[in-house]
Amino acid sequence: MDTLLCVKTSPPDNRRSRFEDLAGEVYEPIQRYLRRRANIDQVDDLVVDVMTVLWKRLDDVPAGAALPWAYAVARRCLSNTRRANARRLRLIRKLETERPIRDREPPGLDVELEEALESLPTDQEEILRLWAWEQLEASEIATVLGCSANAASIRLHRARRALKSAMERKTTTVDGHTRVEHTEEERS
Amino acid sequence: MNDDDLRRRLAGIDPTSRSDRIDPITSDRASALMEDIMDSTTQSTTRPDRHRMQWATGVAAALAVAVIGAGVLGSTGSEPTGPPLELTAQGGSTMASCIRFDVSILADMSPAFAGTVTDVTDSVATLTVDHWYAGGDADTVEISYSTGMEALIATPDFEVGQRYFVTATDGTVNGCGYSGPATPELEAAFDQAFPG
Repeated sequence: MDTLLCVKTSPPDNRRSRFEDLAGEVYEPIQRYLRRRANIDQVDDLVVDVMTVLWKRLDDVPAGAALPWAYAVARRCLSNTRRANARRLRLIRKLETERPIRDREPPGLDVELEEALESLPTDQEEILRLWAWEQLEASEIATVLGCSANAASIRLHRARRALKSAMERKTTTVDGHTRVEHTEEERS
Repeated sequence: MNDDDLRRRLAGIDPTSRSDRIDPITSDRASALMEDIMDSTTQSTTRPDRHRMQWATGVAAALAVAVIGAGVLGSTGSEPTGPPLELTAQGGSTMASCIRFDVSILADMSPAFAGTVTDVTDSVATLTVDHWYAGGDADTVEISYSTGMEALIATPDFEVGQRYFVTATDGTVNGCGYSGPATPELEAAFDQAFPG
């Protein structure tokens, strides 16, 4: 059952140089990605986690798609942090879930859009963020989400349509709050 | 509103668009961080080829495999709110045989996760995942036993409240030390096998 292990290595200096180039490309976008999604007090630790993974897996970083690949790493680190948070909360019997305390500017600049975006299903909200905030195209979004480019393109199209629809059909005002009703198609 | 307009308008509510708290890569802090990472951690090796998992094929082929959730295997998966991942555990075949534990073989297994058992019935163990190492993003995993838990030979005997590290291949839980109750040694092996 013994098999040959192929171990790919690079000269240390070359690795350091490649990592420094990679860090120059992704360090600042990764901070923005995490500040948009994580609790503020966890961003710095997550940045360290992501950069550490990139160093360890430097040979796996795809040429020409380093940033989407780094976003995928950040996404996984963020998911695991959220699970750890949830686990901790369960342990202290605090069952209430809250939206993350994001690195937000004061609200109110485009409340209609913010509310419409947050009313969408989580996966549609996220794909629109990747498109507009990270400025990724469908093929790059596919790398982040781990799906095909065709699937990402379809999901992006559906998410845009759902957001426009949510803004247009909005709605019923209850006690000063705006509520958006979903169609079954938008939930899918 | 066309797509370009929508994209611009969405960019306008980017919470970091007016933030000055992004640390530039040219800062002393960034330089120190990168140096620390390069000095204190080691690189991973290239993972072994998939064909080295053929030892499991004979067992896995005889099993019913149920995986719910598109894109669960071999991908980063969906959002954490997705449906549970369903796996099968069956070690009852007398043909089953173990290979020695090797981190490089562990590294090729997907999905791989750590979680705590929240419920066990005669046929299903439910685990709440606290850490995904590879191949999934579901919050819970349901492991079904097609021949009853007492028939298991090499897979773990799940107990409520116990935390486990679990791997599977082709939807079937791997035994032979590749899944088991949480121990510092097993956690270290998972951390080494799945650096990202």
